[in-house]
Amino acid sequence: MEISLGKGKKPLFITAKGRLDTTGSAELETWVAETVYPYKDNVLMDFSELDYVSSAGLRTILNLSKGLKEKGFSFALCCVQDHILEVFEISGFDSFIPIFTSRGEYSL
Amino acid sequence: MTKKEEFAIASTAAGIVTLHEQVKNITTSWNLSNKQSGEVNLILEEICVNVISHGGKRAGKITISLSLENSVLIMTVTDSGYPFDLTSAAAPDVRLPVEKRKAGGLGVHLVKHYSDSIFYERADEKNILTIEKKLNQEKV
Repeated sequence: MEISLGKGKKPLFITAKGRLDTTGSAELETWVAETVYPYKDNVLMDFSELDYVSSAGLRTILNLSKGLKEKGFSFALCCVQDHILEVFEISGFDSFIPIFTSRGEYSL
Repeated sequence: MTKKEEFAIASTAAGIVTLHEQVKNITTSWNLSNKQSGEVNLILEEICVNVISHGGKRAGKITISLSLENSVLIMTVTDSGYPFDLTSAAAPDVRLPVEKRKAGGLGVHLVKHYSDSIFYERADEKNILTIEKKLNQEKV
């Protein structure tokens, strides 16, 4: 899975490409510990190129969401593909993670 | 005409990587749509991850077989781990607030959502899970 940082501005923009499966979620967890928490700001993840998510990925997202909340920061997603959105809805994650259709919508 | 495939994976994280590769091959040879492929992949990944975490050292190789006839896909996952019936796992409470949410149970919840039926049996010291899924009339 490919994870990259947006440049410059707040919040922390992260783009995750590929698959958030068992392997991908382990990579994301490491990245979160090394890059996200030390950044100390709100986080927006762009899922436009995320094609797959399994429960391992959901676990990582849940931990990230809780972890940021405990530190007083917010976590949101944008640009989620329909079939991925379905997984989030079935799991009830859309009840505590704001999901925007675009980055622009988040900024409003 | 019935299409059939069977393969085995190790009950380790590397085995899950093999699983994804195998599903990708089957997607191509059976001409599954991206949506169908993703759902099949998810069902199998979740089951195998559960086998790995509950099966213990005895899980050994996990055998997965798929057959497709008249748009009905039947998948069978067999392992030699400790008895574990995925179908009786408790569903997560998806309405809890984030502070109380736990990740446990989500995999099983997803398998149930994307499958039309799931049947568990234990025979010859093996866990055998049979999943049926109707593939919508896209292209099979």
